[in-house]
This record gives sequence, structure tokens and C-alpha cells, in this order.
Amino acid sequence: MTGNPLWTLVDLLRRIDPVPDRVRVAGHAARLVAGGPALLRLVSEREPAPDSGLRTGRARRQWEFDGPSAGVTVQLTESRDGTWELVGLVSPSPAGITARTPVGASATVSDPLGWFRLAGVHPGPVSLVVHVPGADPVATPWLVV
Amino acid sequence: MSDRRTSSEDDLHRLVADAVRGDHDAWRRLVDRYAGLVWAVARRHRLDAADAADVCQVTWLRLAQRLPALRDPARLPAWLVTTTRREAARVRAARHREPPVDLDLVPPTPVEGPEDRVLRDEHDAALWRVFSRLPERCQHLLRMLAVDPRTSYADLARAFDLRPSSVGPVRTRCLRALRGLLAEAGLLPGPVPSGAAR
Repeated sequence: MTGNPLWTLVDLLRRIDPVPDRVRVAGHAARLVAGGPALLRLVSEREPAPDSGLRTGRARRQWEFDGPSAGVTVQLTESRDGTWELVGLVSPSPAGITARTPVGASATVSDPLGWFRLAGVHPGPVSLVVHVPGADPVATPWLVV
Repeated sequence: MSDRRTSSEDDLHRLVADAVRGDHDAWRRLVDRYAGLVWAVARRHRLDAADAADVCQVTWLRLAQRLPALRDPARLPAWLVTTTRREAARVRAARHREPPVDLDLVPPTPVEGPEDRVLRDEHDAALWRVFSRLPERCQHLLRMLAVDPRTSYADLARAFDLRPSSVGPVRTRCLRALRGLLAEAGLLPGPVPSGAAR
């Protein structure tokens, strides 16, 4: 055997679970993806109660965000076809809602009461941008769904 | 309070300032500098590679959002550790609430992981067996120090829920335990130090 086994082990630990290239590349690209609107504050995250009032099927998680110009409550739910949906309530309403991910974005407009639904959300990082007419857009922090 | 900074801290201040000014190369170097640390913290929460990758990506996205407001660049490693740890814990908790995978849908062919590829070397495999016998906390601590030796005790304390003053003694105990196990396995050259094991 050659060399100090402690250094050999350090070398082994560096080789055994290195940062995947795609993780490094995603980190490099984050600056181009993340910027923009001011941040809403995460107020709470929890498992939704069955009677939480949002019109969902199988809700998995519920977040509440708040800011000076807007507030939004959103649930992550599983659709019948197995994809994810974001179903929520935004205030004030109506407002435009954009779900942005590192690979693209989808947008909708809430109904007059503030309800919105965004289907076909892919697992991974997502941030919601809220566009209230007459105000600067605001965004939720990035979260893994 | 001293305003003396090490060259490493000066370099970090420059990188952050350049990245805030929009220098993409500075941002890339910032990511490369701490990618190992962020990855190690995510993996410490026993996330699979896909979830760990998502957590790392969210950490970098949040940093990109918050970088212009970062007042003290020296606090960046601590911020990265805390943010990654919180998001990893959140994802891990969420995954535990999800229904278990239907085993009938799991492909029967075993998939070769990175460890399998690395451990084909007999000596590496012997070292790995020794390392795997360490307490879990020691494994994570030593792995994090191996990945990024510049990680400060304060940041390690945040990552491991320890008091900063406890990190040094824990590290010493882990290294002592490792030396003992290496000696026991005949992997240490020279005489075995008395009382090294356990």
C-alpha cells in the first residue's frame, strides 16, 4: 500500500459522490433565471386540512405568501392524470399568475374572486410571479415541488 | 472588531461584488467554489440524487435573487449552508408524507450508482468499508471536509446543529475513530498507535 490512507480516503470521498455536472450547470444558469421581481415572504407551509376551502382533489402541500402589494395561498395537488397542479387564491384580484421554472413558464389569470389553477407543473424548482394591475410584479421564493 | 480579512475572504468579496455587477464569470466561479459544499449539505439529508439536485438548484436560484442584498459576503457560506439545509429538510419531510412507491413498478435490474463505479478498486473498497463503519455524523462531517476543506467550523456547526465550540472536538473524535478502524483493518502503515481505536 502506498501513501497515507487518510489522504487516500479524502481522495476517495471526493470521487465517490462528486457534484453532478448538471447540478453545476444549473447553478451557473441560476443567475439568468432567478432575477426580477421583488420577493413575497413565505408565511407558512403545511399539509392542507381536508376542509381548507381550496377547490382541490388530492392536495399535498399548501403555502401562504405575503407582501406589501399582494398575498397568495397555493396548494400543490395531484391531478387525475398524475401530473401536478398549483391551485390557489390571490389577493387582490384579478391578477396574472406565472409559474416560472428553470426550463420555462406557464401563465394564467385569476378569476374575479382570485382563484387560479396552473396544470402540468413538473417536479423541481418553481416560483410564482404575481402581476397585479397597476403594481410592480412580485415573486415567491423558489421552492422544490 | 477587526477589519482584517484573509486573501480568501478578499477574493470572496471581489467575486460577490463582481457577480452583483452582472459579471457572469464571477457568478460561475462563485458557484464552482461552493458547489461541493451545497451538494454535500443536500446529500447529508439522505435525499436521492434527483431531489438533492433540485435542492441545490433552488439554493442557487435563491442566492441569485438575494445576492444584491447580501451585506456581508463573508457570511455567504453560512447562508448557503442554512438555505440548503432548510430546503433539504423540507423536501425530505414532504417526500416522507408521499405514498410509498409501488414496488411492482420498480425495475428489477439493479442500477449501478456512482459508488459502485468508484469502488471497483479493491483498496478503495476496503477504505470504504472502514469509512462506512463510522457513526453517520462522522461520515457526513468528514465527507464535507473532504469536499470543501475551507468550510469553517461556524458553517459546519450550522450544517450539523452543533455549537461552534463542539465542531473541533467532534472532528477530533471522528478522526481518532477513523484511525482506529483503519488500524484494525490493517490499512494504516507502521505501528498501530496504542489506544487509537474506539
